[in-house]
Amino acid sequence: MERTNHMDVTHIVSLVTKKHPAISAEDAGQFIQEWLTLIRDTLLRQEGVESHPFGIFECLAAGDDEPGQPANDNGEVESFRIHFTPSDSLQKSVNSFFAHFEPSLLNEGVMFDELATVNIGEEKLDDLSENLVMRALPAPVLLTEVPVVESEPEISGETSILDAVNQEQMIPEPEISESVTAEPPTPVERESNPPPESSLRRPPTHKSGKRSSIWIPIIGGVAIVIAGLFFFHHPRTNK
Amino acid sequence: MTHDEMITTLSSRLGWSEAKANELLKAATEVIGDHLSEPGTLSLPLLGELISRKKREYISLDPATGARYLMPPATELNFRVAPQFRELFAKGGDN
Repeated sequence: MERTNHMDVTHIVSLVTKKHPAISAEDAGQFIQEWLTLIRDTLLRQEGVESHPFGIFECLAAGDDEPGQPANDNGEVESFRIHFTPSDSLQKSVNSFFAHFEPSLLNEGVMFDELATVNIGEEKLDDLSENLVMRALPAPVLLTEVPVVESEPEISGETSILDAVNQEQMIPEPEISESVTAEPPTPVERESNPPPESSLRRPPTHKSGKRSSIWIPIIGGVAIVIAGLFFFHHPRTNK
Repeated sequence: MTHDEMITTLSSRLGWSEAKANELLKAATEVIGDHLSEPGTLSLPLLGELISRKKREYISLDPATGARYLMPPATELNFRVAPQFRELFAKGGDN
């Protein structure tokens, strides 16, 4: 079969008619044009298209921590990533030459200096920055709230923890031991609890990691003292 | 959009039966898979490119156990968005 490195839709049409003589070139051309138009229009609506024999095209919201995220994402644009996942059958067809190979466990001492070593799970991290598309936000509703947000005192990680401790002091409850002994959220926990939208739209502020590292043990100590006072003082007052 | 919805939409736009639309989709996918089994690209106008490339064998390391696996070569299929699609998307999809 004649092969070229680069192919377009007209080549596909001619190959389809060669392989399936019952299908006319006109039908194949019409179909492929409509098919691609449908995929494109669906992605432009920020939706995905699923096709059993072919694969899935998706329009995914790009994460803020994704590599390749533009630095000017200050609330004026939203970013998406167009992702294509080939179906199993298409993947097998594409990988047909190597389908019979399987991963093999290497014994200790067996070295292949010329081969790259990659940690499991990090194989495709470099592909995340590809296929980013951006679109302006439809209505600047959040921009009207900017002055209100700016008039508020700057909320940083340590002040929010202080507020939480102060609230616990004001409203002592029986289950205070749980809230007091709870450690400050780790960075992972903070990521899993996304901040309110207003803070996502706020321009980046200067965060001093050194300050927060100083405050965390102080706040923890204060919380433990409060808990101790509450537990040792409360039973006596009841008596 | 699910597969069935896509086939229904295509068949109504083209005035064909759903069976015929399904048959064309299978035939086109077959040909595309055959072509991309060797390193190459397929241009999808105003959408992007399907790119197949050979990925060399490599050693996969499990950091937890220290086990190393020799991973075989493979032909990978990737998609790259066309600049025209980026422009269309930025304009909100107005053609």
